[in-house]
This record gives sequence, C-alpha cells and structure tokens, in this order.
Amino acid sequence: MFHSTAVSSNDLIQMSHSHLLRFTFVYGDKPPQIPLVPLRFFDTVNNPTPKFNDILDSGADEITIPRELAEYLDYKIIPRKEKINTAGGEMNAFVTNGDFSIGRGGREVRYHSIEMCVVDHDIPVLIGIKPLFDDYSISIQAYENKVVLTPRQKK
Amino acid sequence: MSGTEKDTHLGKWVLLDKKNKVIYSNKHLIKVVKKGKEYPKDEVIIEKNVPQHSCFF
Repeated sequence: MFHSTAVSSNDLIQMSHSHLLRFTFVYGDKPPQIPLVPLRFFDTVNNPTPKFNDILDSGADEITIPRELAEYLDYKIIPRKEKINTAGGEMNAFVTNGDFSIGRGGREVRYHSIEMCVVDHDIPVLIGIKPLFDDYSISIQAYENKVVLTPRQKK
Repeated sequence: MSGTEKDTHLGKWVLLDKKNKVIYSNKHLIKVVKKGKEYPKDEVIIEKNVPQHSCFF
C-alpha cells in the first residue's frame, strides 16, 4: 500500500487519491558527488520546512534525522529499546513519526506519519529503504550525477 | 557550490539559492532552517556540507 498523496500546487493541497510521481533529480558535479533528493518536512501542525537536499542511503532501514530537527518539528521522540547497528558499531537511537514530501517545482508527493530514526549526532538527513525504496525503483546514475525515481509497478 | 565555498563552509549546514550558491551557513541546523523560512518557498534549499569520503556513523 502506498503512503503518499500527490500534490501539484504551491500550497501542497492534498488530492483525494494517492499516486506516485516519476522524478529525476540532478545533484552536484563537485566532490563528494553524493546522490541527493529534495525533501521537505512538516511539523506537527503542518508547517513545512524549507527543502532539504538529503542523502540516499540504501544501507539504512529508514529515514534518519538529527535530533535537533526532530525537536524543531515538535515530533515525539521515543528511545529505542535496543541500540542500532552502524558501520561504526552500536549506538543509541530514538524513533519518531512524521510527515514529509519529496519533489520540487510544484511536483511533490506527500508522505504521512512515517517512522523515522532519530540520532543525537549532527548528521545529514539520510534516506533509507522505508518508505521510498519500497515505493520506487531508484536508479543512481553517478556518471550523470542523476537520481531517477520510477514508481513501482502494482502487482 | 564552488570548490572555495565548499572549503569555507565545510561541516556546516548551508542554505543554497537556485544557482547553488551559499547564501547562509551555520553549524546549527535550526538557525539555517529559520533563515530559509525567510525566503519564498522553493527559492532555497538546505544541505549539510559534508567533507569528501564522509561516513556518517
């Protein structure tokens, strides 16, 4: 089941039906040339942040945000019972739920009440598997500094 | 972001305009978010200026 509502106006008005949009995002050609996608977060009373260029991270289970951002958005932050495993070892983390949209230029797909991982570290926002990799075939075309998101085919 | 700008703002959160030029930077994310909200929607974008060869955990 998709978790998204497509929006097409500058006011992010929700449409009555849900669907995904195809996106192509071009990221910088200067090092470190990390694949980025534009996301906007919404606080608990639906105020949007400016857009963020967030890092695609297929090695992460879910979206990971720094605690400072979660607190600014007034999200409820709950400690995880167990530490999370990272490339650098185990670390404490928290869980929250929040809204975001992906896209730009008036073409955005809104996601509601998505579980996110919160960490105390001042890291960039990381876009893990859930929910975007579940909904899209994501192709990183590093030779053109391009990320292409193609909505998955319904079975 | 030019190479010189990358060096100047390394490790900071940056606010970029449509031409990808840095118009504000700060080590505190929320200060950059608040500055970004002063601009019309879609005119700016926030990014963490990470060094090359970064690993985040």
